[in-house]
Amino acid sequence: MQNSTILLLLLASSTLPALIIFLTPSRYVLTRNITNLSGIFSKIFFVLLLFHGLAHDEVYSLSFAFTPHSSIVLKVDTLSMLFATLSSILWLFTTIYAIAYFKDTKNQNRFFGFFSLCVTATVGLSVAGNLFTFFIFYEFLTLTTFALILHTQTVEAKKATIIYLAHTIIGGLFFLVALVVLQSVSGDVEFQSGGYLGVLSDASPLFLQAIFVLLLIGIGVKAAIFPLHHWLPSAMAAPAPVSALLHAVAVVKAGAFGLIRVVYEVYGVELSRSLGLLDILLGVAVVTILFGSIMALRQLDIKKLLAYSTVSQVSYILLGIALFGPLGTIGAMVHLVHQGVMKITLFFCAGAFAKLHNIKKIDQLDGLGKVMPFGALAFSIAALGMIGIPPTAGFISKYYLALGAYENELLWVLGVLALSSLLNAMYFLPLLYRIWFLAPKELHTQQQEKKGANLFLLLPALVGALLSLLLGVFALSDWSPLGLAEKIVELEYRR
Amino acid sequence: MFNNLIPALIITPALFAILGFLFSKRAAFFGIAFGLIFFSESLLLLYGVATKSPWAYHFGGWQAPLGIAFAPLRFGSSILGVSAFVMLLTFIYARFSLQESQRALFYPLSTFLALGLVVVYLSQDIFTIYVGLEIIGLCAVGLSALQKSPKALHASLVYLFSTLVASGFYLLGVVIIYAKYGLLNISALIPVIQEELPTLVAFGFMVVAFLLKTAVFPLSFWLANAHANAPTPVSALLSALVIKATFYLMYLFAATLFIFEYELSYFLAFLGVGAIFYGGIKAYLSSDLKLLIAYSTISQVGYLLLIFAFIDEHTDPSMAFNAMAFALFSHTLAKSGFFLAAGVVVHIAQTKEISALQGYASITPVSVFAIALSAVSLIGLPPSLGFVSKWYYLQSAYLSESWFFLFAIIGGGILSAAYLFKLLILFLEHPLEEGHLLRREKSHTTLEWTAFTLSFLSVFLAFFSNSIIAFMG
Repeated sequence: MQNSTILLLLLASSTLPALIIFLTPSRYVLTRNITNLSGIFSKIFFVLLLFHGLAHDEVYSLSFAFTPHSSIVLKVDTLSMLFATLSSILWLFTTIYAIAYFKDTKNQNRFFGFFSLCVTATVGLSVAGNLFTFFIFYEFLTLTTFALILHTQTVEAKKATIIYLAHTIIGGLFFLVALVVLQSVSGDVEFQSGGYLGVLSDASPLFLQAIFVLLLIGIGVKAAIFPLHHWLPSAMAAPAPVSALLHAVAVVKAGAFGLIRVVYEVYGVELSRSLGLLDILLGVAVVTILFGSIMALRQLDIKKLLAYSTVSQVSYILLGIALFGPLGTIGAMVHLVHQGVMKITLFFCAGAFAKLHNIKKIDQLDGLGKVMPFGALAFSIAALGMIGIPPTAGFISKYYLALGAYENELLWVLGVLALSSLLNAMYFLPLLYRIWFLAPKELHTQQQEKKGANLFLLLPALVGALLSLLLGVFALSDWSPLGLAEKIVELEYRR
Repeated sequence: MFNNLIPALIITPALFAILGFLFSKRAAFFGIAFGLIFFSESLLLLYGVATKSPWAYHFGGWQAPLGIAFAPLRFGSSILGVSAFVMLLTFIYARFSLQESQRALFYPLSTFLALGLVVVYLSQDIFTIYVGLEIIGLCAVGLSALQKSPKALHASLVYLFSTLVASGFYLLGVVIIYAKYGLLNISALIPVIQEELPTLVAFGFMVVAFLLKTAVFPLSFWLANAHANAPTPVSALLSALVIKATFYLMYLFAATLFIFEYELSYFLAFLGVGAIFYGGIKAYLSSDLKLLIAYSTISQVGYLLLIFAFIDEHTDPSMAFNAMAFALFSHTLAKSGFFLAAGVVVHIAQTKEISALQGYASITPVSVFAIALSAVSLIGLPPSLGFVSKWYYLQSAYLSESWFFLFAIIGGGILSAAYLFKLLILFLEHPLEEGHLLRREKSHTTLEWTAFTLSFLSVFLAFFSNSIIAFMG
């Protein structure tokens, strides 16, 4: 098979199912699920094929002149694989979960259709070979996710959608302007390890800094950086599978991933440091981390708490980028994956709690460990991971971030990390205490038992929790996210 | 073969208009047959233009000063091709959406309208262009009066007066030029035209005529009601095809004949900015679906006029040209698809009141999807024709350091996103009453998919941007 064909198939494996799903009436559950799952498994197959090819030094790239001045480029590097794998695996989990979650509700074809398109967008982002292509998929992501946020059709959902669109559309325009300007200056250039703006001798530092700020706003909106984070907590009006997806892979990660590309492969880390861009990023990241954690402390609603926790956790990725040197970078990239797995587990659990026992507030969690032990277990593991307790995946991320801070002799960043871990513990541990150590309240028994649905709601959560442990325990294996991140970093800092 | 193509393009609409008029029971048949033939002819024309250039046709073999010259240019022929396609789909749509009495007039009139379009896009003679403008104007007014409500009749009367005044202005300009130079052929006029008061006055008349006919803000007063109250296929034709013809002339004349000061062409671009915001705000405030679409047209026309900000620039003029051309194609396809899809929604709902249309995504999903695709192109989100246009406009604005226009383009994008997403969110909400589902009939399927085809193309054709740009040179 030709190498470029695989890239197209990789994208088609979620786009075609989406089209079929849209055209299938909502009541044909089996047809829809089979289409959806065959799409997912073929995507995972193509991802594995790409892994295999990369290991044998195959080059996958596809370039297509969109206009005479800008081209659509798809290409695969190790960083793409990191994000593409995350997207396709979590697509599988979320779909299984969503099938159980949305059982017997309306407009399912709309949901699963947009959901698949959303995965096309994230995978497209991961294989985008230049900033122009990245932008196209970035806007496509906005279009596919807004319908998902609106899915429950409630008043809050509508409000959330409007807030979301206002943020992302305007953010997209910032991105667009930056892109237009960059392309006028640099021409049609692909992402390169080490960046390509460094060779532009005639661009003034101020100009490059201004463009960076535009990009930071445009892309940072999706990463929910402070003060552009408002859409994320309000998007909690969306159903749990959507929140799970938005928080773990789709939207916030698109932002974080975009910033990784910008810093390492557009500007280049050396240039970013000498222009002081890393300091800007560091400031934003630190403020967002602390802000998110403090806001999370004040929440009474489980999903809201998780939302603010995401605000703070995603900025760990930015923090890692901002720390010059291989260790910080590794921390950023590893956290991209680890946070996704842990956060999706938390949302799966929160959704299951709400669906099965109508638990939405924190004070309703009392004694849940006795009522649904497996769900509670998965939730606890993921929460401990978020705090960063070994041997979970979260520990690995924080360990590398801390090493990165130490390497840069930024001791105050170490302080920030410690403080934010403390805050994480402060908002997660009370939940765990309630779940395991308090006596159950009456209201748990009111729900009828749905055994089948129960299993598929909990299974993805348990697998997610298991993964968060395994990613931590086997972090040192070659094909773990850590191993991949080390490979990428070698490229970036080799020179 | 290509030599006879231009007379064929002129005779076909005339013939079929007469046939449709005579056999009014079979008007739809002749109309759709015409649509197919006309579209094939225009494809041949595009092929001819691409392979054989320059190319001129002289009627009766008489050369330019005496005879009438037709010369297909690449841009004009492309618009004609897209127009023929939109016309074909609209004709198919009208077969299922109009009542029989309306059909008997709709097909002959719009077939005749096609004749006017051919003349305007292919002719090189400023008087023949006048004839084309009159044909278009009168057919358009007739079409807009097909809906016999008092509101529609009033709107078409206003439309009639505006278009007549505009034609008169244009004719005045032609007369002055003919008196001064004794020439009517554009390419013959270019070398002799001089910057003198009478010439400038003539050009002034022409520009006002074009502005009025294209409905450029603030001369756009006639458009919204005329477009909003016409039957759906008519609205689609009026907004997608008719106003484009006069805009094309304005661009063609500005690029070849007019010898304006830079300030004046800048003034036109400022009118464009005014149009973008005026139309956008009015669209946002509309409570009537078709009125919203009509105001959106006024706003989109503004994007076409932005080219005049960059026509004299030292920077690469081809960028601004691409931007304008793509804005034109985007609007032609997206707006016709939008109107046709909205027609289905209105037909099911029996009301144009936007607030009553909540939840229509579950009732007619294909139409709402079509509207969404049109919206993508109109807002300029990637990858769509509208995006390519916006991309080139932004690049032109940046390279020529026209910050005002840069911000206007961005602001216009936000505004159109606001009114279009407002609509889409409403469609995706919970339906007000499920009973509407019953009112969706089988015949709506064709209507939905014709609309969808147009909207889809306004997005999908962006993937061929490179070839389109290469074709237009």
